[in-house]
Amino acid sequence: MAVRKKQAPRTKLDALALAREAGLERAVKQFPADVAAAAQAAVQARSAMPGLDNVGAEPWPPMRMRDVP
Amino acid sequence: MSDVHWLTAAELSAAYAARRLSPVEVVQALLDRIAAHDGQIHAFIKVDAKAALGAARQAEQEIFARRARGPLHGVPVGIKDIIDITGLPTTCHSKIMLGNVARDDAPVIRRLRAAGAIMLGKLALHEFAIGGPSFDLPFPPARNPWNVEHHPGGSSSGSGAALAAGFVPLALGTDTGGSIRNPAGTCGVVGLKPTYGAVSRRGVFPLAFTLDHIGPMARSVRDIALALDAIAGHDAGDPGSAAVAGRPFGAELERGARGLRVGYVRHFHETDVVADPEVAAALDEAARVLRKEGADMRDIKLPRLRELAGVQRVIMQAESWAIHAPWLRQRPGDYAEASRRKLMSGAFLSAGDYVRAQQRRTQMIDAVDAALRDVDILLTANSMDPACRIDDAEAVARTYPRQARAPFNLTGHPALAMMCGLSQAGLPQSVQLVGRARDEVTLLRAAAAYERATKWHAQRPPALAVRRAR
Repeated sequence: MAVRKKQAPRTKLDALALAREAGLERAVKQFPADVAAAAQAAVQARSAMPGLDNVGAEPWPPMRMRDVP
Repeated sequence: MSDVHWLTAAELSAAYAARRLSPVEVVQALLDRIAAHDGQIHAFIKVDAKAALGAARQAEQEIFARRARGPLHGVPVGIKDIIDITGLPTTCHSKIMLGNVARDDAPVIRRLRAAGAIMLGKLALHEFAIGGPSFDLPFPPARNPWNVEHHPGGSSSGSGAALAAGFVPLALGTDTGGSIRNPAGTCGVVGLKPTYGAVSRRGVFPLAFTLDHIGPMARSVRDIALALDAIAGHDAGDPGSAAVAGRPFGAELERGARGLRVGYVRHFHETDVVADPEVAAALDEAARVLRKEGADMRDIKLPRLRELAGVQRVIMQAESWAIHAPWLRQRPGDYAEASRRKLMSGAFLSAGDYVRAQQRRTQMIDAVDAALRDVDILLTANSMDPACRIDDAEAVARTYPRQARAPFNLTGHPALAMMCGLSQAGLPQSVQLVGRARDEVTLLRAAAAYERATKWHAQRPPALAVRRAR
């Protein structure tokens, strides 16, 4: 439990630092809980995404050239 | 004629042709009903009465001079306030966009006008089509006509509420993670997210470029088909625009379900995200009805719901952050709390996360396409729970991962939500049907067969169902 208590604030501090790097200083100052919640949502979405079984898989949508008239 | 406000677009068109009703009478009746009831529902951000009555007078002249343009001529439509209508603000239900007066109609509005439809006004939504029912915005959130203490779903909340309240026979919504199908199901109406690109996105404020869809909402499947006939079509100005079917979308509405192969995606709501027992029972009953109507029902598997939704969320967070970053940096206090939290998420994702999501997306599109080679239609859950209270922020937040809509924004397949039951609390339950890309005709055939076989489309919110003679 003690370890968890130390990690939580550190994660939050990391999130706030990342937010500052992203230019969200005002949000960090005015809405730190929202910034932390946003960071948590990103972590959850990322962790729900399955790993790639083929790192060479083409991303969607594939690059396509326009038809030149 | 009584109960004008519950007539469908098809019924209105027939009544105009027979001169039993005029567009002016209908628009006036709806304006009166909105004036009487929207103080409770808050479906509209702006009612454009003057323009609507002007358009109704013109439609009346044309129709009665035997110059009817088609089945939407003289039919009033409500427009989600994220879609541009010339001369009106497109507020996106946000403080940030209050002064954003549209200079042009979005192509989807131009198409509706060409079909003779009448724009009745702009409808409420969740801020920028992502937030939630928020009480810290310039306009109140729309409420569920079945019980105004409950959430109408979102983000096209005003569109669903206006249809269920009898304010409009047709509405437009947008859908990036389920925003047409959620309010359609929660308000007990029909909502279609067409194939990606079938309806032009131009003139519609973006939420996530590769997930955004525009589509019709109505009280009948036939009206969905009629609306889609009007609004679908290639737009050279929308780089994501796609070709559409070369025949009317309602071409097979009368064909029935016999012989249709329907894949029931049970694992979405039985093991991936366990649905409320009432919802699960209603889905089983919907499957039973289709089987009874002659469909070949079979269970089918897709990738797990959590994985599909996770990929969709990473893409939505990344793309919406790219759009909103400048405002989130400069004026974060002008967003509602719910949207601020969601829109900032993309700041915490990496380029690698986004590319990995798009790589996974290709595989998931392949998986859904493969499933739809074995069956014609998929049947899945829509929401896993009936509507929660609108003032219970935690309950509202819990609904977002408890749904099966987002996978089909990821894959772009057409998906339709419609009512399939009433909970013990008297709130609508719904089913989702999914079709092959660009095959809305078969999807609407299945939905029409289900609609004919059940009584749900005739249900009305009890508090608003009182008949009034005109």
